[in-house]
Amino acid sequence: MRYAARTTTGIALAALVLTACGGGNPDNSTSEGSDNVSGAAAAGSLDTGMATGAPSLAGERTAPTGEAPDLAELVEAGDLPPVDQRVPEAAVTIIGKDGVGQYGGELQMAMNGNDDDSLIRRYAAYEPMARWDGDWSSELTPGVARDWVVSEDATTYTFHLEEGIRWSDGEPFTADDIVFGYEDVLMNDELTPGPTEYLMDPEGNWPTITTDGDYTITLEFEVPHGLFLYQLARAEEDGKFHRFPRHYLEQFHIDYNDDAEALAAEEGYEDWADMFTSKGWVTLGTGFDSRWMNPELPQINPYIIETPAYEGTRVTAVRNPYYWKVDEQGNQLPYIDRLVFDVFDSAEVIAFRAAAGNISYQDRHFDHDFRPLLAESMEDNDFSLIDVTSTDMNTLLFNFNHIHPDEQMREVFTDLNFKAGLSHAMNREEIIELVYFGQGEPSQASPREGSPYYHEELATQYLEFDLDQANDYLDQVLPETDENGNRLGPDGQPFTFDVDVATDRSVEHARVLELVQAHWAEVGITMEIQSMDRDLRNERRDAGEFDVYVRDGSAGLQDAILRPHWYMPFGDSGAYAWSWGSYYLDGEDAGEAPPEESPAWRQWELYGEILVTADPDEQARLMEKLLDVSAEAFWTIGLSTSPNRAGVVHNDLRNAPHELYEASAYQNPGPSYPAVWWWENPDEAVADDEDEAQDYIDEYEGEDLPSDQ
Amino acid sequence: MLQFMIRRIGWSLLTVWLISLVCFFIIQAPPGDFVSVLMANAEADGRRLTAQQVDVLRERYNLDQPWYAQYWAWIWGILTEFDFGYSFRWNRPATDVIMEHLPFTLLLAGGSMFLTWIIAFGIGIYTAVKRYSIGDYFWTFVGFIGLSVPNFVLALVFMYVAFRYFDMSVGGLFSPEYVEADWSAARVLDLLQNLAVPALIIATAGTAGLIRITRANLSDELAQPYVMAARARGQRENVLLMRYPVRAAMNPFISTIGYAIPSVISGEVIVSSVLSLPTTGPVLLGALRNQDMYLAGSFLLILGVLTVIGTVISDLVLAWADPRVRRQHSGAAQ
Repeated sequence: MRYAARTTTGIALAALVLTACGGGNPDNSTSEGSDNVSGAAAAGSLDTGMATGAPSLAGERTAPTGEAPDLAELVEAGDLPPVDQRVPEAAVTIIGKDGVGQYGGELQMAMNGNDDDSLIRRYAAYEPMARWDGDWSSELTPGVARDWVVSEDATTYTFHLEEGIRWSDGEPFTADDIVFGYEDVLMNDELTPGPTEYLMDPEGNWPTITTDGDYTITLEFEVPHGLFLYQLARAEEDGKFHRFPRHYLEQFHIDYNDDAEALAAEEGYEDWADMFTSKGWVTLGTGFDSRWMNPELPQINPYIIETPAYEGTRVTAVRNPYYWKVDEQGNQLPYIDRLVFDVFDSAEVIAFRAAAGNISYQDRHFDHDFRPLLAESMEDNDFSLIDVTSTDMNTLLFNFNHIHPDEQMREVFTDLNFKAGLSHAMNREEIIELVYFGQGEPSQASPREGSPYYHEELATQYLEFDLDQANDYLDQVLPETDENGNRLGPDGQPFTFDVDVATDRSVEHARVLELVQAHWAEVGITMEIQSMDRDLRNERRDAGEFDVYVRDGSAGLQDAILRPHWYMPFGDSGAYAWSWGSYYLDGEDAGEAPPEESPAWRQWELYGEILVTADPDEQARLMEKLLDVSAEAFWTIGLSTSPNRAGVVHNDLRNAPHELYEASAYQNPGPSYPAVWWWENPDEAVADDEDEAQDYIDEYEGEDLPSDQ
Repeated sequence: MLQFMIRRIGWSLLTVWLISLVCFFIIQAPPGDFVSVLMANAEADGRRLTAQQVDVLRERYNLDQPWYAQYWAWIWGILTEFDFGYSFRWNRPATDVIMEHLPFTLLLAGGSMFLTWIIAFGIGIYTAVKRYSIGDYFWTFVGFIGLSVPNFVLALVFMYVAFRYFDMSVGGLFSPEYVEADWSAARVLDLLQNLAVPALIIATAGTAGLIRITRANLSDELAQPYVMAARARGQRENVLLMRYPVRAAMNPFISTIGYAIPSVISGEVIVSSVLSLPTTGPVLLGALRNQDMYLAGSFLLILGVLTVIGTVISDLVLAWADPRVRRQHSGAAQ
């Protein structure tokens, strides 16, 4: 009973969050921002040229004329120069399907753990030199670079920077900042230990950088670097070489400030490098990025951090007053005042938050099984589901250890007949029905259908569920059986292997394996399921002490060409040939060379050609040849295509895409320009402060939920 | 008594030292370290750490040294500067992280202990007085349900019910509009409201045992001649009950202080993780899962110390409160 009494207030509070409004704040509706609104509400659907309906770059430039009301106030008070002095006079223009918007409101998202800094990066900081577009096509869109010229042989790249960009403190951004970042940060061993791989040619050489005036920069590589532009567009971790404001960071750099060590000691840092990293760089490999930890760091991103990450349970970012993009009427972007990221510790809570309508837009962290929960409450809580095509191309891949220390195992595992037989013995339809709720199609490990690299043979070979065919294949490898029909190894002993599965990621995998265990028993193959922690599984993989390793298959869209590890040995994540992959990427010390007859050599040769080719069509052609060899090698056995995921979008949010691609290399929804998203009712999209909330409770307690005006 | 106290405290110091050693060793025991977690995360995210970066990171975090050297550096820091080491995952001193989360944890733990006592005390007395009645069976049944249903299941059920039928925002200690607000009466109220349910969930597990103990003790006492004597003097039943037998049956409440502290705090780990509360529980869990060893070790050490302190206090209080216990100790000393 006591509990029931408490929830009365709970309901009132919840009502507040769900609709988050009421009368709103009259001051905002009379401010300058709303002058631009006329017609916005009536805007139908504008064609942005993107199949996904994502916003895109307009062909024409626009002079800056409008700005957010809070910035207008600062200008009036004399604390900020007028908008036409902050934004380039012919400013980059972004269009969205819902047209010109209005200023205001907050965008609320949820982080899964405080180290989910990738979420902040995707919304606030996708500003690469060259961008992916909303359809993730092979054609890149101008970003910080207005245009670029690539030499025929892919060794010389000349970028023309967008002119007139300013850092968030008003200082101009020029080629000189890039030179500083390149020479004094990335090439400085104390600040950046280890190579900066994206910036080096396939042989590991640094380029020479030369500038011509403030806005032209040329990189010359010693050997061709065909994937360089894609590497710039992925902008995953470090913000790339144009993130360093020289005028601010020089004071912390030992080469420019002799007192840097003393300053570091004074401020409590270990040394100058530690100080510099905290002020303007990232500890590589970790998410401790100064871009979300140091609010003073000047940036060229649409949002600047306000409440730093890693400190509390809420991270916020506010608009950059010097952001250099506008809408088609010249209003400076971004429209939305503030990004609010709440930190939670589990995906379940995030799903509940979303279902209760407390999340404005979220395209990650929702596993397949959350869909019903979200679908059930979307009408009540005024949000819609969005369709997220993940780069994950396969729900589960069996990696047989092709470099098994035991010779007999190795021979069996590398035998094509063995893998073909097992593949035919799997009843994939049954697994899809029982484990994945009927979502997805049977498939091997191949780039997804619809991606530029889809390979039909690779995707569909050996897929059919056919026990006779399976037995035929297996009889060629393990013909002998014991009295129970279990197959015997070449040495006459019962043949069995262990399958390592990580417990912390997905219960689905364990359930799939139980079904497959039964399927394979039908054809006389015995396997043991070994559930273990991810770390232990990886450790066993790195030591080569495993038989079979399973995990889901990634890199199935445009990123297949950047991370082909499921299609050929490439680094150690492809466990089937972990050591060969390391050999290929890191050299003789890191791994062992495959035998001469291995298809890996032919694939590496083809990939080598891709790396030195600048033309995307030619790259795609070479990639197809590479995948022909993958089909022949049949490195892994796949299960089914990964079902599309669900995301949520509030019904009042405009210009945000309802269909999009998901991949770390894509940084979604970054390529869909969150800066141009806007709220239909911005006053309602604000988390109330406590006084208003209090008034609200007094006013509405015991009444029905207020409906939208 | 003094000698007893000194010996007790001496033994507890030794216990604390052993706890610190065991904590550290156990945290180091599973394969991998923080850098291997970073590597796995990068891999899951489609990135890659180069061998050189891995070496640099191991060196930066002193992970390239043997475990006893790391232990020594850690324990020395704690003893000399009260510095619990550095949390890799939070990129801050472990002390800061702990201090930030400890107040809420203590509030939650205190709240659940208080609730446990209130509920167990009330039901315990009721069931002892009305032994073998319908009410007795009913409450005993409820108590056992509380004991047998895991806390996290209760938490999940609560989340679902709160969301489905009351449209309440779930997760966190504050409703969204109060997360960033300054402290005020409304915010405190909001906190208490959000705190009540987790406290109740954690409390349910502890009550069943206490109910049974109270019921058994009180039943014994109720049969004692002094109760009959008091009744014969015309003492009113309620006053009589509270004044004599209940007091005698209170011992278990005092002696539970010791083990209640760690059980409440560890019960809190899972419930708080499920409900996403900013208490030490999820932080500890996260630290263990991410091989954030100094943070995890410091948490475990602090919990260990709290348990030891709790046990010592409850021993002392019990000796003070109950003449029989005191008598036994002095008897043992002779």
